[in-house]
Amino acid sequence: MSTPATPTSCDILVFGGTGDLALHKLLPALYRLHREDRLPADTRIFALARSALDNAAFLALAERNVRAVVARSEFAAEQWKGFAARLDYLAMDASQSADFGRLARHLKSSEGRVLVHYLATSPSLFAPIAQNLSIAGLAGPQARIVLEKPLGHSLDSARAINQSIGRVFDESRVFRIDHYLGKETVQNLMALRFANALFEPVWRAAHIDHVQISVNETLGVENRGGYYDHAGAMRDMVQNHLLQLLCLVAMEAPVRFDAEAVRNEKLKVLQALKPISGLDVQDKTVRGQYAAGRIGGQEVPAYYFEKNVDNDSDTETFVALQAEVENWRWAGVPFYLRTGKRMARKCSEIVIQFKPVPHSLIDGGGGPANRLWIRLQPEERISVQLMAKTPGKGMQLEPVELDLNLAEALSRNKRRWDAYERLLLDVIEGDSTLFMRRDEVEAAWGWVDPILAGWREHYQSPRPYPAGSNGPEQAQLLLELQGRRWLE
Amino acid sequence: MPDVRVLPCTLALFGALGDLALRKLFPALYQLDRENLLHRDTRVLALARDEGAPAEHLATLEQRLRLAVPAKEWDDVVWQRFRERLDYLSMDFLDPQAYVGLREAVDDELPLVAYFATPASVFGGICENLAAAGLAERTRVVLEKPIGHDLESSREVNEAVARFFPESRIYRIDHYLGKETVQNLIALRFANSLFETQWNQNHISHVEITVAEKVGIEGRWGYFDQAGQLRDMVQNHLLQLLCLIAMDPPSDLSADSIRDEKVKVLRALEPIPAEQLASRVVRGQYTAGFSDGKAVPGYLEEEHANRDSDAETFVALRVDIRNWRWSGVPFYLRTGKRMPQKLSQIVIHFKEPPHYIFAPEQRSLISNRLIIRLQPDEGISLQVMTKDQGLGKGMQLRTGPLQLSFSETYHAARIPDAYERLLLEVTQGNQYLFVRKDEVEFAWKWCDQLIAGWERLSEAPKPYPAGSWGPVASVALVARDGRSWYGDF
Repeated sequence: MSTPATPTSCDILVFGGTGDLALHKLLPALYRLHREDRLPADTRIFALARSALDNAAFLALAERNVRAVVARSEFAAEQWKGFAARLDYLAMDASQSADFGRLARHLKSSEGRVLVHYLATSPSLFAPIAQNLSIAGLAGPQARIVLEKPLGHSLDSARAINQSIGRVFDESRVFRIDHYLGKETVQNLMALRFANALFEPVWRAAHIDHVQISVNETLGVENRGGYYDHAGAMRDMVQNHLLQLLCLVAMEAPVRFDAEAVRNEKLKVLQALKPISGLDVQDKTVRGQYAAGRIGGQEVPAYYFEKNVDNDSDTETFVALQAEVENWRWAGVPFYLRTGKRMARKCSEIVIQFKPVPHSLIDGGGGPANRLWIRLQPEERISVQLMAKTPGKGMQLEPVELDLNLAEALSRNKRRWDAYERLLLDVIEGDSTLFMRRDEVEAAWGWVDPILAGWREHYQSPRPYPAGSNGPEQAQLLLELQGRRWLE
Repeated sequence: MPDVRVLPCTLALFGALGDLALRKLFPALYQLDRENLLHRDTRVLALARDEGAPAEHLATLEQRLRLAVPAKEWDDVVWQRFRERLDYLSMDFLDPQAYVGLREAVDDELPLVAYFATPASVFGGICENLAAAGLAERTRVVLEKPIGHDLESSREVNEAVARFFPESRIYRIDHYLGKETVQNLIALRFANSLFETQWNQNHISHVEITVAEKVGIEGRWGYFDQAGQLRDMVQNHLLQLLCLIAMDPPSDLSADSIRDEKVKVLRALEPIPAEQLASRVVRGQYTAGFSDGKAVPGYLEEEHANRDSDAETFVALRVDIRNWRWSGVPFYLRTGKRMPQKLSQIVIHFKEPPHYIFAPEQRSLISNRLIIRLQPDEGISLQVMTKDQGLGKGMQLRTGPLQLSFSETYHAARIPDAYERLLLEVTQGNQYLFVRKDEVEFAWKWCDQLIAGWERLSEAPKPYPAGSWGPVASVALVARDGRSWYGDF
């Protein structure tokens, strides 16, 4: 792949332009990029949706949503006016090819302009949109397509989508989003691992006892019940975010920090994941579904009472599982993955638990082995837990933490940027390092599908857990049976 | 506070009215009493040459103690209890007849600890007289530095003491070993697999050990001008720190297991050949300059100065350890008086990653460091590379410290003074924080060859202005190897 460069002219077409993702995430991110002069000078933004709005009505809707999202100090009328001048709305039905002809005429000449087609729509529309873009002459060499999750529902459906997209766009022009990869601390993982000689010699089975990766939310499904009930936590979170984090922890050093080299290494990890199938699902996985409980002092309803959720749904809102990477570096090291909704705390975290020292000099044992904590949210931080001498007389040990609170360490002048700003900028510049490649997505589905099949075949229903807890008790057992426990 | 067994003894403090005793030992004993770490039967005998009424001397002692102990830690009830333990005895340490009185003052049932806060030249005489008076049985002796001024004189002192006391009852003090963070070095190294795995020449590029003092000679002319910074600081404190950093894991925490490993390091120190002295060692002597914004005199201009002295007040040197673990890893040692600040610090520089994948212009930034701050503000800091914040192209890196500051983490806990810990260990009979005879002698042997080399060179110490980090040559010493001192300037 050639070195990414910033184009001078760019058209961004947002399909699903009046949807939540567009209004709450994409437009605020684009506004911020505009405000900081990071967009190409000649950028046009087209919001496309079925709603019969005129341009003025759309601009009013956009302004209301951007104001609600960005900080008051970041919103200025003059800047909004400049941004609004870039914005255009076109009502169209993305499933109708005739509308794409109209779209092409609306764009006028796109010669020499980068085209970014952002599909903030249902995945069922991905294939028709790609096909129609091609027919309308909007899928030329300068065109890129951005796909939001979910990318299918299974390996077969993901493959079908990828094949349809692949017929129109070659892989270098497809940008599959996992917004987790745009987060600051996720990117810090790369720097931590490959810019520090200190960690690399211990980053292997000989020194690491196990790895824990948790992505816990206090929120329930809210308005996404209809989608979520069909997907479940495994498809919604594990197949993408958690496996991506696992890849970043477990991957080998790439030869260069560029898209293909990095994604090659991630793919190798996914290919090395030991399958969990058949009866293994009972030993290696735990499913949960939240029941009524209390969060933040508030009573919250059970999952099956949420809007748009089937009353006798057996969809999981919690998954814990033990993954294994069967390669030279990691054989024998369990990776415990955990994710859930309506958990006690919102927390995304990676914990590397090292093995104890080979011989303890201190009577009564040396205490806990070392840990490296990488907190993704809230409060991004990195922490090493060590043993140190208890202050005062005698030689007793106690754990202490060397930590770096990234939010504190960074200059107060610098604004905390959003994952979507990073990702949008990368699409415009053609840098796909932080996006998922086709084979990564398919390999991830290839690993997840047998687990889903195992659950169906063996009638593994989700265990109830009260909202505001740490998930089903069986999740504790998963680790306790091997002499370990979840940390926080 | 962890539970510590407290044992009774009689502490006979030789040199009780000397500066060390009044500034350090009595305050430490007071603090131990305050924390109930002196057994109720423990007694302290203050011994000095000065004649006169004991009550007078004890009053002087009380005055000095009130000055030395922070006001919030002073407690009259504790003082009264401490006062009850105290007796003063006037005696000439080299007069055998004087020990009759000491013999009568000592309780036969309690072990005796004889603390020599005196010049080493009288250690032998005191030991002989203790033995003659029947006071050597079961007695522990505590020896303050300096123990000699070279290998030969050190041996003489050690042999004079060894005639009457076995090594197991000799406690040679290096007060650095009593510091909290120095002890944490042992925990840090041997209770944490994260570091021990990499504690070798495969992963470590070089090590810096700095012990900098802000003050000048402070009236210690009689001793210091004969000794110089190498004998005053390197032979003991800096080499002890080097041993703790470089030693192999002991099999347990017993005194001799630890000290065996330290001796192995000292034996592996490569002598610096005469032809390499100029490139590997820098001597300095401070000249007039500024400290805390005030003009201060040079060494040769100090009150009572020996005007043609060539004693060094600064030493920087590169030490190599010839063993499997450390071959090829230089240890840069640096110590001096009239430095910009008081600082004792160890910096472990790890090697660069084997293959660099980020932006080429940032390559020079890449290295990890473990910084162990001994004083001031004891703490540990691990410097790692993280991603810089921002939307800039590629992966911009920055150094971020993962750190532990003892004063922050343990703000409620009072960290004891080094002498408190050392005195407690003596009363408990633990030797691991004390220096063994062969340690002292190997350290002198290594220093002696340096001193002999300097004398043959007849080279004067290089001047450096007070308030600077030493002679420019000390920067060149490290720069010659493509490195720089951490954090200077």
